[in-house]
Amino acid sequence: MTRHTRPLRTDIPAAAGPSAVPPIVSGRLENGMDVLILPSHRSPIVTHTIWYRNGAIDDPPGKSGTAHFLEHLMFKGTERYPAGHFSKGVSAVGGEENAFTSWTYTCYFQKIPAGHLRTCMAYEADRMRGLRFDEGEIASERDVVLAERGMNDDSNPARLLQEALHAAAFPAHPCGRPIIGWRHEIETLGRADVEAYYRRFYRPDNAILIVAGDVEPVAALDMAAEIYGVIPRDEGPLDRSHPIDPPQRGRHRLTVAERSVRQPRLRRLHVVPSPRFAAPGEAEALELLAYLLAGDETSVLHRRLVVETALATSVGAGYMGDLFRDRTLFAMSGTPNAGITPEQLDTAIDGIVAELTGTGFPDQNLARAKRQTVAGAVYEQDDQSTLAQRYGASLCCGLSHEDIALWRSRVEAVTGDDLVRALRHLDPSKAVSGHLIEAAA
Amino acid sequence: MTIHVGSIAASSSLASRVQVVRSPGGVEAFLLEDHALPLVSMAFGFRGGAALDEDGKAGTARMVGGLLCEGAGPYDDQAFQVALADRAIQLSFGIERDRLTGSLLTLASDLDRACDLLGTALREPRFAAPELERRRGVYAAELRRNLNQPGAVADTIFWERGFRGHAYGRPPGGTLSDLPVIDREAVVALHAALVTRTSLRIAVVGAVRPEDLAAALDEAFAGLPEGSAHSLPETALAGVGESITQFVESPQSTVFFGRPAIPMHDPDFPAAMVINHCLGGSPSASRLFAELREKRGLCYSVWTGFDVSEGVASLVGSTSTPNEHVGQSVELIGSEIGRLAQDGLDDDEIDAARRYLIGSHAVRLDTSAAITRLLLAMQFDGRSLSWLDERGPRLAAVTSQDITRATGRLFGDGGLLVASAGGAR
Repeated sequence: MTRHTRPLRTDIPAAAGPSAVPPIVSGRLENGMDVLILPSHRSPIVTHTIWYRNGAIDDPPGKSGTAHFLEHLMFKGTERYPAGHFSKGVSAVGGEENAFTSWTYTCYFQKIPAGHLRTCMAYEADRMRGLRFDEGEIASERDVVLAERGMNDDSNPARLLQEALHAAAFPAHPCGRPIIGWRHEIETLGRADVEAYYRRFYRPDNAILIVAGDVEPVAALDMAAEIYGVIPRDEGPLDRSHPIDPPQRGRHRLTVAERSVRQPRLRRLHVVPSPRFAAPGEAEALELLAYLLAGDETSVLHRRLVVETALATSVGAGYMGDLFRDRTLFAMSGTPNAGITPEQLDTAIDGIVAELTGTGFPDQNLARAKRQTVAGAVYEQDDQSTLAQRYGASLCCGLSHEDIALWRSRVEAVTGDDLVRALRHLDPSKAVSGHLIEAAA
Repeated sequence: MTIHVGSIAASSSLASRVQVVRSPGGVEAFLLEDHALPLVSMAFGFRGGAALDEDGKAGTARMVGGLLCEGAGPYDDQAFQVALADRAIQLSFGIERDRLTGSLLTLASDLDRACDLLGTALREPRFAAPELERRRGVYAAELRRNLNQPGAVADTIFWERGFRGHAYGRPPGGTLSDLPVIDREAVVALHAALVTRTSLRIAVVGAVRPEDLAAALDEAFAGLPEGSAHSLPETALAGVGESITQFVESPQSTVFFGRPAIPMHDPDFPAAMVINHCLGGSPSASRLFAELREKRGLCYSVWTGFDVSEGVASLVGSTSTPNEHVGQSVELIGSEIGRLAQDGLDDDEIDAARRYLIGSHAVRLDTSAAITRLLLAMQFDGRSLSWLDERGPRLAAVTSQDITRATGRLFGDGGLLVASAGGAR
């Protein structure tokens, strides 16, 4: 086992104080499993999370939804512990547990009183290898997943628009498929599919353990070595190759028209570099750009589209820095005011982006955006689960924990010119725009 | 490496670490002083909330809250937003049936500035016409969007029927028919009635000494008018035994169900919490989760819980299921409640529920915001600080006799008000 204790430091203004960067302890077990400890002693609670560096993009062709379906089945018991054993153990101490699947990762977590970390580690280590597959349970759980899709997606036209946009933004790469899977493909998933996926990816050298909260870091690392370290190492590398999308030519405009829509909506995507893929400073500029465009009521899209022209009732923007490893998305969205179409809003955004590429942003707006980022680092540490999730998602997207800890200071270094360069990624001639409208009766 | 030891982790109880701060101007707040992070989190609320909306003007109290951050005193809308953003101060308002709530998050070094801005917003809101129209547009868009969401529709029709004739029957978020007639006069009048010292309760967690907080409290709240107490008459969920449906074009339907519950201050409430936990309160222990989801794959989500406003407590639950399974799901929910009412709970179930409910209280209090929300709710619920220490022992003392008695009181004849929305015909 290798182990190193590395408190990371960065330049934080005096106002934020010395605790704006959490002390981090990291290590790698001999079987290849990475371990990260984020100590915080505010309350006697620990968040135990395990991350697998695989998700929906690793579903085989024609089998979208496999990763997410398997995540459900991970709660169905192992050879050693029957269904419900783990959950009842967590519940008996007042703990909370859940799991979530994304495109590039799958995470299982428990939040528990600090004395129960060992128990969670033992259960989680057991289900990395010992899952039991039962045909009857698989059939019933598939109906649960279809009902989940029915509740969250099929009943919600805005989500259907989002699915259509992803498919257009990533025409070949599996990032273009929904995490939960297409309904017609979920319906075909069986034991062989989930079992093959499980055997392929649930291995220690594909996993990251992140423990946040009231723990003594070295003791937690030793505990991880004792419990997870005994899982045998797997032979051979994991195959992670994915098709690369062709260069995008031209603009996409999608219209999703549903009879049930009473409030139209605009959502538009731009394919941009992920933090791992970006040039130095580029991803940081994209994050600030999202704030400056629509982060709050001082932002330019809010002022122009909501306040001055009243084309929209609300606007939003986001840089998806921890979703994908290579190319990722910059999204803008808006709710058109009564009598305004999504298309009018879309065109207005084209104009504002073009104008900003010429003028840039006022210095005081950039300073405000940075101030938000620095304060955000302090606010974020108030929630150990949020912190564990930010580290886990970013590590799974290919960043190192040094990258993550230094992110804020890199944001501090962004200049006005960097913002203008970042704006060029939002080239209207390559936007993927989605318009949600009411279908004619 | 900096590691802060002590703080909330100290072995002493939360109750002993919370103090009541009283400012020179007479403003009171619960404070949990904690210097682990350089931030201050404040939750505050004004008793009355949406219940004070006039009939025919549902959504007025929400409009008051929405406009408080959009121009006040010397600041127009933009200037006020810039003033907040320049210090990364997060200030927002929310509406509930019986209270208008606010939440403030700031770096500790900016607490004075944050409270200065908060005081200006509360005392001198402009309620200017352009901002009022803009807010109206935001709420209208949200209400139109909800028209096609089975969950939102089922929720609305459930409470409209359940509290018909009472102020709580009006949707706190407003309605598309009432929204256009909310004028500035109504907003100004409701602000004057609602945002007062009498109605105010405050809770604070963070890196601030009591004497510094006292000064900040005066800055924010001492200048508010005294006001008078509002009456929020007691009520109970009605319509039990009825089933209402509304068609929404959708492949799936959402069902809401419920009946009156035991009041929160009743000695049987801890037993009722145990019963709810076993019926639908938690996936690992819930009978409904086991029967509907695990055994039959009918749904992704099914839950129950207590919905409490001043003067009323209800036991409510919900599930979302494909249209063709609505009938079967509602039948199963009814039969599980019937089985519980008839046979009660096993000792193992009671034991597991007690353990969870006692332990989870601390697990959920792991952020400043969660602690401020709890400390605020305690004040509105009329609970003293000692309740924090009494809660666990009260749950631990729940016996199977208590469960039998409380089950009878909770479920009576087992009837439910059921509201469903979706594509089921």
